[in-house]
Amino acid sequence: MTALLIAIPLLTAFLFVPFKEKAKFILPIIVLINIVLLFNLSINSVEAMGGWKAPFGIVLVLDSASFYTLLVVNIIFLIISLIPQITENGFSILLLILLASTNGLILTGDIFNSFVFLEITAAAAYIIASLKKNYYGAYKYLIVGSIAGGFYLLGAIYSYVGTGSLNFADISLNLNSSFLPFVSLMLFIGLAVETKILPLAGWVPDVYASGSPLTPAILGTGVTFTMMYLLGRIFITIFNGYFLDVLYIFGLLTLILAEIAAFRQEKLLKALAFSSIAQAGLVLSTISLNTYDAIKAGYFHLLNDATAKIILFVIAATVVGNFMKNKTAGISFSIASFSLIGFPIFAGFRSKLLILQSSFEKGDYLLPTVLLFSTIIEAAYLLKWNVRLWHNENEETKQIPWNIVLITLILALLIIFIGIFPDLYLKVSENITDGLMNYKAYVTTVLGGM
Amino acid sequence: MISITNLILVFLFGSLISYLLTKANKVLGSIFNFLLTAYALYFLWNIEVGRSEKLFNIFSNVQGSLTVTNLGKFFSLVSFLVLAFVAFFVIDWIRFKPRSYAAFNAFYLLMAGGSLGVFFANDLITLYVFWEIAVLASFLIIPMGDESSKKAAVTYAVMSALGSYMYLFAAFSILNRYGVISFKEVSINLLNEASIGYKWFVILFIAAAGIVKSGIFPLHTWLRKAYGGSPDAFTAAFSGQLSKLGSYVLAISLAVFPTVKMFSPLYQGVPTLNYILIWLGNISIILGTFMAIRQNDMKQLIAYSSVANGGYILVGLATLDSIGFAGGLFHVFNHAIISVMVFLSFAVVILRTGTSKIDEMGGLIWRMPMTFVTYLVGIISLAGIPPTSGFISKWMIFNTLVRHGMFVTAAIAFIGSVGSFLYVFRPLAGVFLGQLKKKHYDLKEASIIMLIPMLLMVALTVLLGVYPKPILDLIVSVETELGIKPLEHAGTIIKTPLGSWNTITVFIMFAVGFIIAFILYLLFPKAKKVELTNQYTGGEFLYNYDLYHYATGFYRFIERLYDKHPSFEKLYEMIGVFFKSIGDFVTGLIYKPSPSGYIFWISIVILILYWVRW
Amino acid sequence: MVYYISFILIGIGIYGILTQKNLFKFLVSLTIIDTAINIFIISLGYIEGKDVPIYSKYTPVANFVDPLPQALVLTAIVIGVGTLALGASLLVRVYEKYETLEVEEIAVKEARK
Repeated sequence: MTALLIAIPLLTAFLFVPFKEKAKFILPIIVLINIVLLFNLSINSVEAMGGWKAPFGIVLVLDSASFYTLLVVNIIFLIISLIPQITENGFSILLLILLASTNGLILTGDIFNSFVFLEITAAAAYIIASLKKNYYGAYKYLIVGSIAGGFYLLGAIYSYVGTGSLNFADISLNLNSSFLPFVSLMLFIGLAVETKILPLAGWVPDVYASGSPLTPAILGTGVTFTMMYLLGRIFITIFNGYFLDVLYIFGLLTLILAEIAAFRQEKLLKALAFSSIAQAGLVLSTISLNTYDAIKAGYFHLLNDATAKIILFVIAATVVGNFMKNKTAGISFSIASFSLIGFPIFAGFRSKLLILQSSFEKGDYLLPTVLLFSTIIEAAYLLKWNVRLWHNENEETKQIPWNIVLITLILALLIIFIGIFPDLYLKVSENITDGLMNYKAYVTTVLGGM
Repeated sequence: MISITNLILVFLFGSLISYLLTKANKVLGSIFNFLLTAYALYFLWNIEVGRSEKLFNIFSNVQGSLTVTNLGKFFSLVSFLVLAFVAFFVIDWIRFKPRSYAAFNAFYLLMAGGSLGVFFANDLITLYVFWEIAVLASFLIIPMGDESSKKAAVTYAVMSALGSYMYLFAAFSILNRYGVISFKEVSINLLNEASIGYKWFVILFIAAAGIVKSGIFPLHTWLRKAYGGSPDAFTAAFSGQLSKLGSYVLAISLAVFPTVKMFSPLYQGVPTLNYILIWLGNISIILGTFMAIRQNDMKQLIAYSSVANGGYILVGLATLDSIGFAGGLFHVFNHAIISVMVFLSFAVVILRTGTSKIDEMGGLIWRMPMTFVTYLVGIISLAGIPPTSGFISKWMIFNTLVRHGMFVTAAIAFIGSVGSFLYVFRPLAGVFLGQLKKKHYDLKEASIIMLIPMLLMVALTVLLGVYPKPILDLIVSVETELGIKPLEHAGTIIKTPLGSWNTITVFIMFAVGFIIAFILYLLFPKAKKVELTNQYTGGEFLYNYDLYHYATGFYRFIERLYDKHPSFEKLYEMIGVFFKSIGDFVTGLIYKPSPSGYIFWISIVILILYWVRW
Repeated sequence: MVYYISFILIGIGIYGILTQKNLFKFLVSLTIIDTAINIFIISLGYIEGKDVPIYSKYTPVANFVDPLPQALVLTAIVIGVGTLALGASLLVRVYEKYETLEVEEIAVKEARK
C-alpha cells in the first residue's frame, strides 16, 4: 500500500507524457489521492519491496516522522498545484515525478535507495530550475548537484562496506567508529548541497532568482523540507547524533553569512533566496542541538519558514510595480515577512521563541546571540523591501491572478492562526521529532524486534 | 467594567473595524478611533490597582498574565491622554490625507492596543509581545509620511529591533536561570543573585530596549528622521506616547528591579550602573540640545529636543531618589503633552503651508493665532518656565541633582535648559513671528476640531502647573509601590530638603507680571506693520525673501562652535556600509559565475573536515 | 589497487572541473567522476580469485565475488547516464541562448544583461 504513494504519481507522470496540457489538471487530483491514501495507512508499518524482508530488501518505512513529513510535503505540492499559472506547460509532469521521488525519499529505509531518489529529485529539480530560460543556472546546479550526489553515493557504499548492510536500521545497529567519520562526511556533503548549507549553496541565488515563481516555491519549501527530514533521519536516527557538532557550526555560519549576503542583494528574489539559505542554516543548527525541544523547535520553524516562503516567492515573482493595486497580495506578503522576522502574533515568533528557549535550556548562548543578531539584519532587508513595495511610485502595476491572491491570503491567515494557536504545527513537529529521536522504536519497527 | 484582556482585544480587532469604517468614510473611522481611545482613558482612570488576569501560554509551563500596577496605570493614563487627543485631532486632519488613510487609523489602534498590553504586562515576555506589536504598528505608520520617511522607518525598525532583541536575550537568560519571568519574582531572584556581572548584564540589556525607544544616546539617531518624516499628526503620538514606552521599560529596569538594593552605591546612594545611565542621559541632553539648535526643519528640531527630554527623564528616573524619580515621572507626563501641543501645531502649519522648513515660513501668527498660542505655551513648558507644569518636573530633577552633589550633572542639565530656550525660539521666530510671506496671505487658522485638543492641552499644562496635585498623587502611589520614599507634597506645595515650591504663589507672581506687561503693551504706541520688501538696504530694494529670512543662519554664532561635530548617524551609516561590504564579500565568496567555484568549495569543506576530524 | 585508480580518477575529474573553462568539459569531468565512483563500488565487492556471481552447473558452490555492488553499479550507471543526458540537453539550450560554451564569455553576456 505504501508503495502506491510513489507509484501513483510516477505512473501518472508517464501516462500523461503524450497529453502535456492535461497534466495540469491531473496534478491536484493525484496529490489529493496521495493525501487520502496517506490517511488510510497505519503509522509504524513497514512495506518490504518485492517481499524481501529487511535488512535484505528495500523497505518503505512509515513511522510518525515520515508520515507527518509526507503530509507536509504533499500539502505543499497541493498548494502549488492549485496555482496552475506558475507551472509552465509540461512541468506538471515534472512535478509529478518530483512528488514521487520526494515521497520515496521520505519513505525509504534503504541508503542506496535514498541515493536513487535523491538523484531523481535532483534531476527533476534541475529541469524545474531551467524555467524562464535559466539554463546556465540550472546547468551549474546540475554540475554541483551531481558531484554532491556522487559523494552521497560514496558515503552510502562506504557504509555498506562498514556494516555489510544498506538498511538504515541495520546500519545504525552496526555502527562502528572507524567508518563513521568518512561516511558522515560524504553524506553531509551530499545533503549540504541540497539543504543549502553555505559554502555549498552557491547555486541557490541563480536558481531561485530565475524569475519563475514555481522554482523557488517548490524547491525552497517541499524539497528543502524533504532534505531536512532526510538529514535528521540520517544524522539523528541512524548516527545517533554523531557529527552534529559539525552541522551546528555550519548551520550558524550559514545563518549569519547568508543573512548578511541577503542584506546586500539588489534584487528581491535574490534576497529571498539568501534568506532561504539562512533559514536552512538556522534549522540545521537548531536540530543539531539534539534535544527533544530543539529538534521540535527546528522542524516547527522549518514549517513556518515553508509557509512564509511560498507566499514570499510566489508574490515576489509575480508582482510588478507596487502593492497599492494588489493590496491583498501585499498584505499576505507583509504578513509572511513579519512572520519570517518573528514579530508577535505571527507564526515565526512562536518558533523563534521555542528555538531560543531550547538552546538556552541546552546551555548554549551562541545560537541565541547569532540568531538575534541575524534577525536584526533580516528585519532590515525584509522591512526595506516591504516599504519599497508598498510605497513606490511605479505606475505599471499589474493585477495578480485571483487564485494566487486567494491562496497566499489563506496561507497568510494560517500564519496568523499558527501564531495564536500553534498547536497544529507543533503537533506535526512533535511527531516528526518523536519519530526521529526514537531510534529504538525505529529499529524495532523495521527489523521486527531483533 | 470589561477586563483588560478584552479591552486589548477590542483594540486589536477594532483596528480592522477602523480600517473598514475609514475606507467607507474618513471622518467616521477617525471618530471611532477617538471614541475607543477616549473610552480606554475613562476605563484606565477608574481601573483598580492590583487586578490580575491570565493571558496565554507562552510555553507549556510559562503563563503570560496582566497585572495593574500603579506604575503601569500612570504610564497608561499619560499614553491614552495623548492618544485620545491626537485621535480627536485626526478626525479633521485625516480629510487632507490623500492615501493610506484607512491603514493609518487601523495601525493607530493597533499601536494603542500594543501599548496597553505593555503597561499591564506582568512578566518580561508578555511585555515583549505587546512591545513588538506596538513597534510593528508604528513602523507601518511611519512610511506614510514624506519621502525621507521610507528609509527612516527601516532605520527605526532596525534600531528598535536591536534594543528589543537585547531585552529578549536577557529575558530568556532570566527564564533559564531562575525559571520565572514575572517582574516580582525576578526582582526577588535578582536581589539574591550573587554574580554582579550577571546583574549588570540583565539590567543593561533590559534597559537597552528603553534606551532605544526613548532616544537616549548612543541609540538616538533614528529619532531625527523618524520624527521628521512620519505623518504629522502621528509624530505627536510618536513622541508623546510611543517614546514613553521606552521610559516605562527604563523605569522597570531601574526601579521595579531594585537596582539600589542590588548594587552597592558608588556616590551619594547612586550605584555605578545608575550613574552610567545618568551620564547617558546627560550626553543625550547636551547632544539633543545642541543638535536641535542646528536644525532648519522644525519637526527634526523638536525631534532632537525629544532626545534631550528623554535624557531628562532618564536622569530623573536613574537617581531613584524620592524627588528625582518623581521628577522623572512628572517629566514623562509633561513631555507627553508638550509633544502633543508642539507637534500638533506643527501639523496644522504643515497642513496649511505644505512645508516644514522654518525659513520658508514666517509671520503665521497673523493668520493662525490659536496655533501660535498652542506652540507658545508648549515651548514655555518645554523650556521649563513657570507657571507651566514643565517647570515643576525640571525643578524637581535639578533639585535632586544639586542635593546629591552631582554638580557636573546638574550643570549639564542647566545648560540643556538654557539651550532649550534657544532652540524653541527658532521656530517661534522663524515660523510664527516675522514677516508673513505673500504666498501665505490667504492661509486659514486650523479648524475648530483641530483646535479643541490643542487648546485643551494648553489649558491642562497651565492648570497642572498651578495645581499639580492629581499627577503628584499618582506619582506618590507609584513611589510607594516601588519602595521609594514617597514625595511629600500638599497639593500645590512640593516639599524638598532644599526648600519647597508653592505653585500658587508663583502663578500669582507670573500672572501679575503678565498683567503689568499687558497694560504696558496697551499704553505704549503700537508697532507699525511693514511688508518685508517695503524697504531698501544699501540703495537696493529687497526682492528675495529667503535670503533675508529671519531663520537663515539663525544661530550661526553658536553653530560655528561645533560645525565639525562627530556624528553617530554617520557612524551607524558606516556600520551599515560595513555590513553591505561583508555581504558583497560573502556573495563573492559563494556565488560564482562558473561551476568550478562550487566544486572548489566542496573540496575545501571535505579537506577541512578531513583535517579537523582525523 | 583498484581503489587508488578510482580515487585518482575522482581527483582528475575534480581537477577538470576546477580548471576547465568550457562547459562541455565540466560534463566530461563529471562523467569521469561518475565512472570513478562506479569503479570504486565494483572494486569493493571484488574478492581475489572468486567467480562471477552466477549460479550454474559449472559453479554450484557459492564461491562468488560480492554481487550486491555490481547490482548497485547498474543503477548508478543508469542514473549517471540520465544526468549526463540532462546536462547535455541543458548545454544545447545554453548554447542556443548564449551562442558559446565558454564560461567567461557567458559571464560577460550575463553581466551585460
